[in-house]
Amino acid sequence: MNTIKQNGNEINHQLIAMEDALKEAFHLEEDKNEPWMLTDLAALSDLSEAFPQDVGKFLSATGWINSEGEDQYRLTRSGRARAVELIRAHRLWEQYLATYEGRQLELLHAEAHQREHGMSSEEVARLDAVLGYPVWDPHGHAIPDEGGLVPSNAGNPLSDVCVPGSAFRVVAVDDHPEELLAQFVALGIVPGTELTIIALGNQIIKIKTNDQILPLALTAASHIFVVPAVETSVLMGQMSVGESAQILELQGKGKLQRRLLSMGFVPGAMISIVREAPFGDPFLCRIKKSNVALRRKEADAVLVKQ
Amino acid sequence: MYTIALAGNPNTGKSTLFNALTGDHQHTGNWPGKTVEQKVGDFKYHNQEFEIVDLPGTYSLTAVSTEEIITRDFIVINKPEVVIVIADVTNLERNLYLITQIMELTDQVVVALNMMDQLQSKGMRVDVEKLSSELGVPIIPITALKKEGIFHLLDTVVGIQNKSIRNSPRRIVFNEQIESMIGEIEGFAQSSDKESLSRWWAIKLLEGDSEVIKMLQEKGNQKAVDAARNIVNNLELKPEIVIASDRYNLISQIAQKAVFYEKETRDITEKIDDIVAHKILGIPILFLIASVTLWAIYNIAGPIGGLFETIFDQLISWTASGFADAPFWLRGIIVDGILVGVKQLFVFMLGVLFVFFFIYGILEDVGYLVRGAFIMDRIMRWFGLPGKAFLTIFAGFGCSIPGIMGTRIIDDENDRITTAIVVPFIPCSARIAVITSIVPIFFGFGIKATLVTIGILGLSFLTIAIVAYLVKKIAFKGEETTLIMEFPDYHLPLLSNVLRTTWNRTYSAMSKALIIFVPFSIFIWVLFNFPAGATQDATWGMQIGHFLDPIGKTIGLSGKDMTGFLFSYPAKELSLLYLGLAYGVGGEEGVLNLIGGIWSPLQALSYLAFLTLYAPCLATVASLLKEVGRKWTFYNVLISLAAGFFFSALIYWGGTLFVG
Repeated sequence: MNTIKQNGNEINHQLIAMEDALKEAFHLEEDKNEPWMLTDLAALSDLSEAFPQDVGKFLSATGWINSEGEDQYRLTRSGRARAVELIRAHRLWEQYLATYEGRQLELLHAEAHQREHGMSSEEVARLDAVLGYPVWDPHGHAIPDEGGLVPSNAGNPLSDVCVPGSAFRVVAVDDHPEELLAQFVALGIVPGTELTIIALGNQIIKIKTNDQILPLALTAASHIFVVPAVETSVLMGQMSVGESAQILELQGKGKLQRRLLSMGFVPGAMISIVREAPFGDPFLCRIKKSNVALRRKEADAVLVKQ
Repeated sequence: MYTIALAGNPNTGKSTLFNALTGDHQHTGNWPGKTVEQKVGDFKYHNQEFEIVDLPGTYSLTAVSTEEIITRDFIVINKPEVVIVIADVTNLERNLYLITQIMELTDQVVVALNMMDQLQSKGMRVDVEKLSSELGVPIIPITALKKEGIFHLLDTVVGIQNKSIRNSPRRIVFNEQIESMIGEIEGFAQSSDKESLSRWWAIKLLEGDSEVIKMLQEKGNQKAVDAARNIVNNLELKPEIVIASDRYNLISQIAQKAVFYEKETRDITEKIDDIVAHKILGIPILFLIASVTLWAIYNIAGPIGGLFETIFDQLISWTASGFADAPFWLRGIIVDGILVGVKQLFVFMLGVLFVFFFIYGILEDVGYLVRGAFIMDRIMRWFGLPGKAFLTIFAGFGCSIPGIMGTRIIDDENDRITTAIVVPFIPCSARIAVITSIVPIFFGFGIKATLVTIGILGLSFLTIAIVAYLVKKIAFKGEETTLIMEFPDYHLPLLSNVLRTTWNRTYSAMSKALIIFVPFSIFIWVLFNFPAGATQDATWGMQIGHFLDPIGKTIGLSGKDMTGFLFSYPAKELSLLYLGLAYGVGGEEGVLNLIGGIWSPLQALSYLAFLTLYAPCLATVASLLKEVGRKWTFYNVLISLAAGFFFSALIYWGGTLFVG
């Protein structure tokens, strides 16, 4: 990674502050899809007292924003492009830090935030190439491509979908606030985690994940993005020797189904494939402390979850 | 005399317990109208006589198989005083599935918890008292093989019978939805039954049990059936699955309270199966076992046959001198008809049957048969047969009769009939004896002879595959069949058990054969000895030859040769004897020299093919009649004749084209 040079000395501190403001402005506009006021921006940023006039002046001077009436602003095309480029650089750096430096999920944001500034488009493109053109950053957020196209983030905030009993898979967690992310990581809530909503209380939900039950504030839940967990069912007949699974349902009929039921093939039961006959069929399945031989075609009447 | 029923899963030691209880006081037959073996015995305990009925081994009481229907019908209709359910303690949950169902049929249940000696090696511990209180019926630990716990079991049986022990069987409570449906249907079912079986009727109706529906309709209770149908039709879930899984769930809960697994062990059975049921090694091991069995049949059954030959020859010569003054026909019928005929059975069949059933019994008792079926299933299905058919086909090399009787282990009725029909196409020891006598005359002992012998074997298998395919396609409309079978744990065979079943099976096969054999022997004798005083060529039998000439021509043989197939119908060993008779030469040597002179190699091939395939011998027909009934026996004879003519004609005329 020596090719990616961090020319930090040359970075103008003011530029950093302004680029951060630009990013915030971008998010603001994305969320609301209407012009915004400098005071809105100030509320979001941790910029200096000089705000908001200085910022407004600077951003206008770079041609990144346009005034649309009294204290009403929108990003210009070049402003949007730069903002997306910054986001792209940020997420690429996060990916770099996670994969090449092995940093913890909660420790990525601050460092990436430092490194994202002052990079030319070529430098960002080179970083992208080195990383193998990743689509998602370690938090599960989409990385914009070179043309600035932002893939829509997968999933919905957990706070929007919390119906007790429903199961989800985490696709993304917000990278800030960092304290919250650190908490998520400590609890094992990272992209890929499966969780089930158990109860919905006043501003608090209970979720079950990794075999433990956790309370979670709704506001915290809004930083977790989820998609419904699809139970990928497999036909039992397609299992290989050595695999284990849990029975989801039976879809056979008549005699076959009755025979299966009486041998203990009921929903919820655990099975494993012990061995198979010459030519791979029939196979021997361990269920409830006994070994039962069945043909793969018969086993296809059983749907399992691996 | 009180009646006790003995029920339980297969492979739980049920026969061992039955034998331990009854000893020699037992007899074997069939369940009325079924091809399922019924064993009934009696014993005395504390001056009280008991009759005990061994119910077929089952996993459940649905209408899946004849065995299950027999079991539940016996409990519901015959109402035995006490039902002993034997259970394998090492596999308790699956056994409880049956136990809880029997407890829905009767309160008079005692559980005999078998294989208690296996607990340690399985790393298990069982709290019998806890289990008993959870189930609400007495549970008696036993080890049937060592006859441990039998008296305790009998005391409990007596207690239940004289009501000094009162059971309150645990009722499986299903989820609310199912329970409310049961309640609703139960109301309608009540009128059909005063004896508290209404809940059971309701459960069965919800499961859509066709036999129970039929039973209730016969009782005139269409209402309950309709009520159930209405309820079930409006459901998205399948009550049958919910009922089964609720039952298993409750069973798991019960088992968790009483059965403890202290360590996960990989027991000896798994280790043996690693080799015996191995994906690659399995086949050679199976063929090794098959070869040893065939070797034993040819080498042990032979001397047994020889012994009987000496005995019968002596008997025949005595009888012959005893009847020296009797009229020619009486002496002929008794000596040359009956005695000589019966001699064939004892000389050629008894030994083969006994040796085969003995080895088969050991393989069965040890638990190997199921492994063999597992290994061969894929291969047998290329022939349109189930894996278990391998065992019967292989038995067929000894004698078709054990092969046909062996089809009982095939659960599926269609598969069973198909297999029984094709078994006689395998050349049995009798046909192999004739084939191996004739082949060297025409083809020597070299590669040619080997090819011819293999060819005949190939013809057998080809016929099996074609017939099995057609039978399944035409008669059974290609219905799907199932394999699903449990791998029981291996255990050492109990010699007394094996000998008992060997004797029962041999006796059953021999007596069936004798009944049909005697009259037919007389018939054949008369045919080939009348009109009285006629020369050999002038007898009725030989005269038939003239009529058979045109038929024989179709496969290149003379009518005289064809008559031989009729003559040797009682037993195919007689083929050579007949040829000697027909052509007026004595001794096997003479016969073989003779046919070497009058047949061309093509004719010999045609003869061998026909001998191999044409209608099974009389004893086999007797066995078929018992196992598959008249209709299928008739079809079998017809198919065999057709196959014999077809292939012999094909060989003869096809061969003529090449040889010229």
